[in-house]
Formats: sequence, C-alpha cells, structure tokens
Amino acid sequence: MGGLGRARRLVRPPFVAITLIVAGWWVLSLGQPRYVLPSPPEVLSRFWELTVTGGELWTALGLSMAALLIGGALAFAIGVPLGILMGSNRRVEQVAGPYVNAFYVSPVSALTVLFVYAFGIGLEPRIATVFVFCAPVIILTCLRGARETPRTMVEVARVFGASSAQVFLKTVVPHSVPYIVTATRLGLGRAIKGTVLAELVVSITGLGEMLSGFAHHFDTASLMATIFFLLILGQLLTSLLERFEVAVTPWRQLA
Amino acid sequence: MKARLASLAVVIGVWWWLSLGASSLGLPGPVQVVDALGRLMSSGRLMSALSVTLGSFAAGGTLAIVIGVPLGIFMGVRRSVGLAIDPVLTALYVMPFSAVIPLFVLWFGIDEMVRLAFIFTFTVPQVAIVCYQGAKSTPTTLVEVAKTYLATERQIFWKVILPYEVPFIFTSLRLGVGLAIQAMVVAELLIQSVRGLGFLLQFASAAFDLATVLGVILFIMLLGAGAVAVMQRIETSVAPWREGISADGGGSNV
Repeated sequence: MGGLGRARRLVRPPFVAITLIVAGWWVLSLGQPRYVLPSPPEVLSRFWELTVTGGELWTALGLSMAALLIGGALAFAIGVPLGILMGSNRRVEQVAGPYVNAFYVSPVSALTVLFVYAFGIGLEPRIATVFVFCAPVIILTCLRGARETPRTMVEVARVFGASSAQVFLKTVVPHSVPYIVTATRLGLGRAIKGTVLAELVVSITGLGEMLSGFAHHFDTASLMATIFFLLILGQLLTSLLERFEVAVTPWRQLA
Repeated sequence: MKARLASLAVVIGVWWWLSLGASSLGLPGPVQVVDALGRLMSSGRLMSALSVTLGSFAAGGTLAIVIGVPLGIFMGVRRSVGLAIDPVLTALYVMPFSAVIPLFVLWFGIDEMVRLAFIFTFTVPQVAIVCYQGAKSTPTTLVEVAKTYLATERQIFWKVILPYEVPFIFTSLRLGVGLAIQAMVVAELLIQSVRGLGFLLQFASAAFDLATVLGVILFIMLLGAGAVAVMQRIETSVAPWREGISADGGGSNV
C-alpha cells in the first residue's frame, strides 16, 4: 500500500504537467491555421500513419542507421582504448587531453562544412559527423574510469608481483567496464544528434529528409509527428541503456 | 606544459607537411589559413558577421539564464513542481536540436527571432536542471538547524538554500554558455542567413576557398572552447572546493 502510494506520488506530477502542455497546445491550435499549429489529435493520427499504417518513419530510420552505427562503432573502437590509455598514462593524457577537451566543448557542428568539402555528400561525411559528435564523450568517460581506479587495488596487485601489463589488464581495465557502459549511453545520445544534423546539413536523407520535406510542404502535423518520433526514440534508447547500466553495475550510482 | 607544446608543434608540423605533400587534396597550410583569417579580420567581414551571430546568442542565452535559474531553484524548493517539470526538461535535453529547426522556421521565420527562440529553447533545460539539482540537494541538516533556530521559510530560502545554490548557478552558467554556442552554430548552419558566421562559411565553401573555410571553423571552435574555459575559471574561483565535481560535463550536447 505504501509502495503504491509512493508510486502514485511520483507518477502524478509529470502526468499533470504533460496534460497541461497538451491542453495548452490544443487551445492554442484552435485559433491557428493548420500549417502553423495542428491540434494534438491531428499530429497523433499522422504519427500513427507514419509509424504503423504507412511506416515511412521506420524506412527513414533504416536509412539513417548506417551512418549512426558505423560512426558510433568507430568512435567506440577508437574512443574506449584511447580513453583508458589516457586515464592510466599521464604522458598520453597530457598530449592528447587538450585536443579531446577542445573537441568536447567546442561547436563541432561547424566541422560538417569541412566534411562536405573533404568527402562530398555521401555516407562518409555523415559518418565523420557522427564520429566527432560522440568520440569525445566516450574518450572522456573512459578516461575517468581508468583514472579513478583505486590506488589500493593497484598497490595490492603490485605487492603480489603483478607486472605493469598485468596491473593494467587486471585492475584498470575491469574497473573501467561500468564507465564503458556509461560512455556507450552518452555516446549514443550524441550519435543520434549528429546523425540528424548531418542529414539536414550534409546530405538530405533518412529522417532529416523527412523533416525538411514535411517543412517544405507545410505539412506541420507530419513534421511534429517526426519530431515526437525522434524524441521518443532518444528517450527510449537512453532509458534502456540506463536500465542496462544499473543491471550490470548495481553498486554504482548513475553518473 | 612542455609535452603539450611539443604535441601542438607536432600537430601543426604534420598539417604543414600534409599541405605541402598532398597538394592534390588542395589542403591549405597553416600560413594560408591564418592569412585568410587575417584578411577576413582586416576587411571587417569577420567582425560584422560575428556581431550579427553573437547578438542572437547573447539575447537567447541571457533569456535562458534569467528564466532557467529561478525556474530551477523554484523546482528544487517546491518538490511537486520539480517532479512535474523535470521529465519535460529532460526530454528537451535529450532531443536532437537540429530536428526542430524546420518547425521553428515555420513559426518564427528566418530572422533574429528564430535564432533567439532556438538558442533559448535548448539552453533553458540545461540551466534549469543543474539549478534544480543544486536546490534539491541542499543538506537537510542545514535546513533543520535553521528551523531549530526558528528561521522563517523566507529566511531558510535566503540564508540556507540560496547560498548553497551559488556554485550550482555558476556551473549552470558554464554549461549554458557551451550549449548556447552549440545551438548558435547549428542555427547558423541550418537557417539561411545573410550576414552571420554561417553565411561566411557557406559563401567561402561555395567559392572553394578552403583556407577561409578552415579559418572560420577554427575561429568558431576556438571561440566556443575559449568561452567555456573562461566560465570554468570563474566557476573555480567562485567555488574552488567543487573543482573535482564540476570538471566533467562540458556542455556539448547538440
């Protein structure tokens, strides 16, 4: 009973907020032409058509997947070892750290113009965009994991005569595992953002093509349905990976 | 420091070598890029483009701070409000920015207004969430001691919660500035403007002037990284004890 009451208390406020937002949107939409602000049911019915009866959004998502997966996998394959290396070796961190940090905080989207220049408008510039979007966050998260390996563990390993390769493989790497999971979650979120940006700036395809096509035809209901699709997709993937994170490392607070 | 300077020298050296050897790529060397940037500056084109771009950045960012900070604190003080709004802000935070640009263009046109609205919409969640977490995490012992000494609600807010919140506000400012710059660049790239930095980039790119393209990109990225570094300095000097906590989460989240 107490658990149920607590659950209800936790669930209710967001529900109230969303209801208020939808109600406000509905009221606003009454006085507006449909191409400016369609009403919630209109958007919902377009959403249903685009995902269930027609399924165009899934086709578009499939087209977007290639750049997202290849760029994300590259960032993971390079970012995880580099991050762990940087976290366990001060020299490497001093040399590479400033660049990774600079890429992390600077507006990397400006690089898309350069990628178009270098690779044309095919798949490659989109892969490059996804890569620069998610590599820095993966590297920095793994760096933290390796760096925060408790000194006691490393010292115990040394006392038992572990070589530095053994220390690295048996204490630093295992300690980084949960951070790698976190890095994947953060990287995935950024990868989705990079994919959408690349599809709007670099080459018009996939979900980006849907967005700009609907906008050109003033089909605002479909445009909003696509935006909600992206919103739900991002939320769903992130919360799935969060679940996974908690399941894999129940002792750790989420970063 | 020495290792850093050495690595910087190596990076520039490799770039130079590439620009000499692989002339088929047409990669301009560091000298040409700096030269192009210098010409843009002396002709005043860079500064006028920058002032256009920074105008919307300043307006949208300021609005996001003026609304986001009190909103976050209010959410932390009134728990039910916090619980209600938090998921909405998080959803906006996870959302790929660029996807809403077409919708925003329909609503706000292609003038300053749309940039302002865009930068505002994507900076507010970050600012409010950090301030919310700060206000929420005010230690209950502090509040209880104040209550024991018969402090009124207002006194608890001004003398306990708000002082505790100050470093969080500075963190939110740093992350907000980073995010606002990211949003600004995305807006510049996706909304055809006639005077901003994005136009400068697209113009140079259409003219196959790679030296200028590289120069402007480097300039934009250094500007972004520099602004965040300055905010980080301010933050550390205001609340040096939080250095370890606030070092991560640079705020690039486009």
